[in-house]
Amino acid sequence: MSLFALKSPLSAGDRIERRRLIISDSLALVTLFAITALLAVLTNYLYQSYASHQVKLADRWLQRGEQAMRDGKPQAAIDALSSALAFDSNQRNTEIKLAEALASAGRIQEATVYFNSLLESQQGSGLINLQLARLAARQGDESQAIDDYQRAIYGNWEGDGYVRRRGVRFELIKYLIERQHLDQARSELLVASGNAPEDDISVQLEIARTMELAQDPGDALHLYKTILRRHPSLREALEGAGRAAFQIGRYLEAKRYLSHVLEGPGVDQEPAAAIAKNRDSLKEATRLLALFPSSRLRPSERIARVLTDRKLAMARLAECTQDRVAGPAKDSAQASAPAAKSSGALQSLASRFSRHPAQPAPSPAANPAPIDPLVALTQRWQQLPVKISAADLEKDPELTQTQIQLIYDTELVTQQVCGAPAGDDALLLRIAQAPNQVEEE
Amino acid sequence: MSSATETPGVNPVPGVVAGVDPVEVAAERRYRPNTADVQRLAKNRDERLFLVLAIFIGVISGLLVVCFRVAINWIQVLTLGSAPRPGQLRLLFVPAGVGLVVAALVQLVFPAARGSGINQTKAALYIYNGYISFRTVIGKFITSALSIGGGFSLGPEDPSLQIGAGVASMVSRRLNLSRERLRMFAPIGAAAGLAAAFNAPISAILFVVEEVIGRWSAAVLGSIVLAAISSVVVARWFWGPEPMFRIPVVTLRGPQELLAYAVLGVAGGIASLIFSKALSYSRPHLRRLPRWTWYIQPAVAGLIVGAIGYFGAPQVMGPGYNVIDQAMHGQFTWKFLMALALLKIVATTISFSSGTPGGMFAPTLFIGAMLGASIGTFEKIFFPSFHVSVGSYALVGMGVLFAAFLRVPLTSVFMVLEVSGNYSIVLPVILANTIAYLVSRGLQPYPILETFTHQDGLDLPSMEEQREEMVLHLEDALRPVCFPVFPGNATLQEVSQQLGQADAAILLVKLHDGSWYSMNRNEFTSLAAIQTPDTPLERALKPDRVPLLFPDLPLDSAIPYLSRWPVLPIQNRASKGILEGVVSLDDVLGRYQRP
Repeated sequence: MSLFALKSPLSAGDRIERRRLIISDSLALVTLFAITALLAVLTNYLYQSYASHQVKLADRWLQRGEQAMRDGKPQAAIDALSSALAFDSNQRNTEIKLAEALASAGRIQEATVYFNSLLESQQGSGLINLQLARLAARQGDESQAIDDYQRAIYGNWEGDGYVRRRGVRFELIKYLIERQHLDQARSELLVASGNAPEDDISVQLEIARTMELAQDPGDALHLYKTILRRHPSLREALEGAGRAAFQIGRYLEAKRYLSHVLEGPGVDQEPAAAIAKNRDSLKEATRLLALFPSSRLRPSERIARVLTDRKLAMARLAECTQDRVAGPAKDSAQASAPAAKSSGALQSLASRFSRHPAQPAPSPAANPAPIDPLVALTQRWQQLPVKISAADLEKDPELTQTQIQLIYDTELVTQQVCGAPAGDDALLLRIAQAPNQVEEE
Repeated sequence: MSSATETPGVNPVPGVVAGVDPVEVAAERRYRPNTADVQRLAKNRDERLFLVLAIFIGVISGLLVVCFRVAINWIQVLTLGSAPRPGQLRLLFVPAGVGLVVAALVQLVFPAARGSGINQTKAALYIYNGYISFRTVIGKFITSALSIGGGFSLGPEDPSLQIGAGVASMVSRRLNLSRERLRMFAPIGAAAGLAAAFNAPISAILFVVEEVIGRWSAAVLGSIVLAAISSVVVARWFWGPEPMFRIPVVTLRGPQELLAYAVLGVAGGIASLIFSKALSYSRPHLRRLPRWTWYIQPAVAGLIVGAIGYFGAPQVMGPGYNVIDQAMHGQFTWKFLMALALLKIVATTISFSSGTPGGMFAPTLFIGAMLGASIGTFEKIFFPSFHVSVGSYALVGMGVLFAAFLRVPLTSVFMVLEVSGNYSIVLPVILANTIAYLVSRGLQPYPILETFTHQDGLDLPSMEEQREEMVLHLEDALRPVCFPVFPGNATLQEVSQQLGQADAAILLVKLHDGSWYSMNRNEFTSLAAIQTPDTPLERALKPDRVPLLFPDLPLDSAIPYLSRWPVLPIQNRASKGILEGVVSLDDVLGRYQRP
């Protein structure tokens, strides 16, 4: 034993005594060591038995908490999950569930504090940032919510990180659409589209559908067409493509896709409302294409359509003019001289094109204020011959083009002045809005 | 030190003073380790064993504290269920039943197990040479585990401290160490027990130094550190290294936020006063009741605590660490938190005053955390510009009440840092703890532990007073040099002539090497009698020299030399050889006698 100095001026008796002391101390220390080892074994046994019981209790309360959440009882879930944590405080998932339960119970602040404290110990956790984003969204803190969503997307995820990130990105996109941040939503959709695997049709379809929600039917159509190249008869893609093409004014394309949808297999299994909607869209597209004076048509057929459209536009103008003249006259007591003049021009035009007899003109004092776009339009109509025949148009392609343009402008202007039209006028208006798109594919 | 008569006290029942078993007292009288032979045979044995045993004590204490905590948890689950909820009948009756069992055990088998354990450890250190019996350790373990696990509003830390001290006492007794060493083992074990219970070695060391030993002693500090670290290593082996509480990083956004923490400091000071007053009033009153009532007092206390739990606040039952964690994570409203703080004061006062074994650390932390979280939540709602984190308020609140109630300001700061593992909170903690400590001192002259010792009829040293005791220095007794000063090369004849003219009783000699010599006239006369008149004074002097003393040294440092020297020259530290003045025995004694 090295505890004692070996050389000392001791007598023989003392040396024996010292040896006894060394032996006695050594024995004491060995005994102490043995007692410590025995105690360590006992403590370990006791601790392990309690620890395993703790794990069981924690599991039991966790299950109860999860069940309570499924049953829509967040308060009971809070109690159960708190108990689970009391027995196993290091379970991050339980803590997250407890915070979710707090949020579900409407205790948003508590949940936020809880999640923030969890984030301290799990910096960059995608799941916690997602929960914080949802809480911020519930509290109406848009910028915080968007920031948290972004952190969740680029955060750490256990398991299939790509799928979780994509899910969070979709959630962010939906939030952005809901808050009318459509540009941001479209940007995120483009990123999602770029990251989506080509062979995952369901994801591609979801992205395309979300693009439609984000008012981006052009990109949606592009994506649907990409899907259709791989799966030409995929019903959802055909339906989406038809819908998107219709939205951006590609009616010929829309007609084609919608026809496929309605004539293809499995149409009977579709909900009746969806079939009816598609049928209506197809009907509209068909009628619209029948009105469209396409340059691809034979000249005689095209001129016949121009004349039909001309009649529609003139009637629409007359109707709109009459409405304008009759409507505001009641409450306009002091009309100016130019107003009276324009009113007279409109009235004569109205009587010229109207489907109904013209009403007597009100007194100048009751005339409405001048409506410049309508007057200008009327003047353009007055510059054209009163009667135009098919032969006139055949002879003069320029006149045909001028007439077509005037038809479109009439629909556009009357829509601005008198509101949205119905029937064929509505279809003509759609053509007028993007005539070049109608037959584009 | 304050007098026992200055605080409300009770006449202690013979043989049941401060939880000391009369059998143990008798054992203490018998216990006389003969260490003289041991010291002669192995001079440095004690010192070396001291360090080795400190590690053993730390490990054993750590293991026992782990067992103790596991036992509490088992009992809690088995008696109160895994998740106590209001309205469960067992909450009402289990603590009462446990109270009956614990009372019987304390009165019939383990009389020394009564109380928290801190004062008992201090009593062991100052009165019984560090002796704590094996029976006391076992009794403390069983009765405290039963009462805390059974729902009494008490904590495991103070009993852990006593269990650690008991382990140290048992281990050291087997090795025939000197009495001084034996005495110092109690604080070593206490530090080990507390460190394992708190998982906080620095706080445990500071607490033992601040509250048990009362001074920094180099002789024992190394062993205390070794024992505390050993026990924490053992505890962390089982519980893991994570701090007890997790809070976010605290960022102060402006000095005005410190004002909010200052408010918490004031509130903590007042809360500690209420808690102290409640305890110091109820404890002696319950002790004065007839002896037979001691058997039922814990049961009645258990019934009241159980009723609090049954009718809506089971959170106050047991130590409540999980409730502290919930409060830190903002799971309660400020009104409920305030209610919990008040109910905990009531429950702890009743539990402790009834004589049920168990500690007050955990309840103190609980009350502080609830108070802090309540104020934090309130400020968060009504003063949103403060950017309050409820967790940080709860944590500071814990430190605040710890500082104010137990009067251990330094320990309280480190305790908060250690249990949270978060240094960012240090500024608010220091500010709030200091304010709470000052408020508590202003309103309550005696710390609660000192009040308990007086109530128990003991007279242990007050650590707070010891810390603040004014230490006298040599400069306080210093007087100008009014004696003749001679150079060492002056002849005996010259000195004799000048002494005759000056009629001085004492003379000082400055020697060529800068050292000094002082002597009275008689010594000079006897020296001169055996030398020729032209002998230089330096050669005639005895070989020893007055010690080198400076004005800032403690006054008592001069006393050992004043039997040899009539006066001691006190020198300047910067310029040795230059005298600041002199002190004599009369000067020193006179200064001590002056108020």
